[in-house]
Amino acid sequence: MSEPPVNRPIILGNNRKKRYESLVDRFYQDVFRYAYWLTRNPSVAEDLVQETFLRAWRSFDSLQSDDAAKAWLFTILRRENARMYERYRPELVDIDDVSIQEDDRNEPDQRQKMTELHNAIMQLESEYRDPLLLQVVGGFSGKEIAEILDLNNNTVMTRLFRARSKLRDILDPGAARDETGDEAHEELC
Amino acid sequence: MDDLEFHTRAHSNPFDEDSDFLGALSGREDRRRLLDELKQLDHSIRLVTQHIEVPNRLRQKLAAPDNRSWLGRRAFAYAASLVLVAGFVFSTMQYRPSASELALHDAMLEHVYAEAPRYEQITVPISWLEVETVLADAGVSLHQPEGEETLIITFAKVCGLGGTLRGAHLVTMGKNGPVSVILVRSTPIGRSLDVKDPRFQGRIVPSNDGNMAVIGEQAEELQRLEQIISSNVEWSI
Repeated sequence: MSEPPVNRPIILGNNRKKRYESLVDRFYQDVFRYAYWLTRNPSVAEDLVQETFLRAWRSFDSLQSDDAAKAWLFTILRRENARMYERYRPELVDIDDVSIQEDDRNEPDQRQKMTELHNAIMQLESEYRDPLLLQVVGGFSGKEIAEILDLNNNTVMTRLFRARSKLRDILDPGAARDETGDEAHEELC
Repeated sequence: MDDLEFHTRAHSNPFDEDSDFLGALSGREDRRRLLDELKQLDHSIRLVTQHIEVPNRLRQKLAAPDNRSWLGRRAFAYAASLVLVAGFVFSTMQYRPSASELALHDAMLEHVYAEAPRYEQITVPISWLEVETVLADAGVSLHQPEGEETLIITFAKVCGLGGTLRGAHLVTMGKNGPVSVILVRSTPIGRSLDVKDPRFQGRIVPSNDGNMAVIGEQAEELQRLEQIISSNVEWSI
């Protein structure tokens, strides 16, 4: 299991190297995991993360605020993914090939549920998966997601609504449709 | 708050803490159950994500400026370039490269230093389709020779050179290690430039509407590869 991220504030000041290293320590695991969901392939994700941080290093002086660092990295990541990988994205990786850490603390049925959820997330269209993971994994607000994805806030909220509805429907077919939300929400959009 | 609004907001953000949203839970066990389920779903997504294994050596690969990283290599490349400049000035009186030619040389050498740690680890050939895609992105095409001259490419990426130029960086295997081929659609330089560097050797060669560089380790035989590339490259209009 890889080491946990170091939660310390990004060092301010003129020391570019230290500031950059601090940013890498703090965010590289989140960036890799988001890259994994984005590319659905661990090897491509690793290349993408390296490209992302290379770009970040080169344009590091343009990062004005440490508060914006994470969103800035995720935006670079998405841009690099579009530029370099989207056109020859590999086929969806088989679940058996994916680098999911084994955790002895998990019971077999819990591992099974995690595998099912992993597959369900993979089945979501990217227009729904992307904002959902930015919110849940990245911890971004609706406004930040709108900026990263270059969408308006209402569209983001609609996609988040549909993402969770679809996910629930994949995991438990019919459950989400039994509620009033999805069908009624379609009329609003 | 009616059910439609509650469902919409709960699915959009189960952790909504606005007072009107939280107030809508009051006396509504069905809404509370739905919200708990959605929060549990988010928790499970985070759990699944945390179990995606981050490659062990990734952090090291992202290291910035030290002896082996970008700044170090950059400084090394600049130092090598200075040596090269001095060499041209003091010992090559017939031809003095222009500032733009030297800048192209520096950018290519710097890029090779930057990418070497990545392509050195790759030995599996990639598809020609992938190579063509990268080449097309850089405004160049390369005809795959047949027979003994067939190119085995293990690495192909579009690269930024010197912050302004865009080129295709291919890597093939030579007798003594990986050999970089960089194709940049830009104003051709006046004449071929030798790459003089403690580690790498090679040439930057003007080729119709662009420039081509073949750069390998010191002991590498590069002339044949240079001829093969030169005979098969075409620049997009």
